[in-house]
Amino acid sequence: MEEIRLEALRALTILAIHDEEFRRAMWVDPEGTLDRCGFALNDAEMAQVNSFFNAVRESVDVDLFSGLTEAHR
Amino acid sequence: MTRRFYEVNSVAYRSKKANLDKLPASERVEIVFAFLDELILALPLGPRHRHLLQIHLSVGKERAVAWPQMSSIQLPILVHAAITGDERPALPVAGACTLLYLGADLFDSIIDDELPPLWQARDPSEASLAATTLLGALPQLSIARLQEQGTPPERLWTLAHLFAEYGLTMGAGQYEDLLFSSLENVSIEDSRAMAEHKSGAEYALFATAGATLTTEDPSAIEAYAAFGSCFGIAQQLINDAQDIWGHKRGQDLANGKRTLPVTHALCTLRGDRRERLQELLTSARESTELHDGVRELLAEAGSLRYTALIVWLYQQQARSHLASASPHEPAARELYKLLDQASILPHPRKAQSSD
Repeated sequence: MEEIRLEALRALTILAIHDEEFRRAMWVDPEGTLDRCGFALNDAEMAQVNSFFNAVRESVDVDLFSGLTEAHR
Repeated sequence: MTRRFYEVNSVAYRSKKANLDKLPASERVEIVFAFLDELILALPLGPRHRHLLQIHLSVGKERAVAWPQMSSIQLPILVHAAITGDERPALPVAGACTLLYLGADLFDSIIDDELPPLWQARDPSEASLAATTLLGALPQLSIARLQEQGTPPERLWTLAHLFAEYGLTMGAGQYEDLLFSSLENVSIEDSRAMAEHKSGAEYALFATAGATLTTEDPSAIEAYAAFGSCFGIAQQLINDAQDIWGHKRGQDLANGKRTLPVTHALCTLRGDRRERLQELLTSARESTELHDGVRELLAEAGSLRYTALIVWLYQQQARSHLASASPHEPAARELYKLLDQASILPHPRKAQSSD
């Protein structure tokens, strides 16, 4: 599995921490939001981003709790 | 090279007929705790003082047996093996990391009023004394055992200095954790930075100590330090979420902690909803009955999903740093496997049966 480039991950983290508009928009339209913010992710990177958001966006918290409990152990 | 070290080291290792350089996680736990048992037995202490240290060693061992992925054990050993192919020389470093972890954990439990059952019949000052000894004296004595395997003095000094530097950062993170409980406006960045200082520094130390024992290559050491830092931040945020939503909930809401899910909700909710959350967080310090109300507002703000996002971003950064270090197999596979567990993702729902 191809890694997402480190610079992109760092920039995404900074935006997710500091930019309220980015935080709201990412859950609605990850690809469009990244495009508007000037990210040029390749197809493999974008697939990873979409895979994460698809897994989490539509889930209800109870599903996340189960993952959380397993993660923490 | 003294007899003591090799009694611990060789009995455990020689009993393995398989590849000595690749042990399962649970056997590393056994070997590290056998080493620590022996280290503490050899200390020039009175039996009662020694017993205090043994109490928390028992707590730590019980936890590590239930969760062999314990990072203070696995990271230094696996990082060393990822560079050299050999796990064995890193045993005293893993011992030192585990002692530091146990000391910090015990202090954290005292501050958060979450002492494990073995400590509850004891005076808290005894727990403080044990934590001070575990943090302040024992990691250095564990590192000193490296002399027995011929580690040069300058490398011992480098390792000792690493423990001091990262320990200082961890202390700063702990201070922020205490301070933020009494502040009005704590930002998401403040909570992130606290996680970086508390657990990012701790995991960075575990990984860097394993690397520093065997290489002076700054790019390798920096890559493992960054890997450890991102891994530690992800794990701290998982623990913060677990404290609020997990099966075994902790004391963070009762202690007024401003962890990332809480600060996210405070930064996201508006007007009455934000005021309501602020009131509930204040009252939740006095009454656990109000904790469900806090959780409802955090859910409304999407704070668990947001925490899952930040955890994922740090997990991916850690993967990237690890890849840049070009770790050797089979340790590399185990390091990636440890990292894979540092995530908050939903389990796939079971398909409904049609019959």
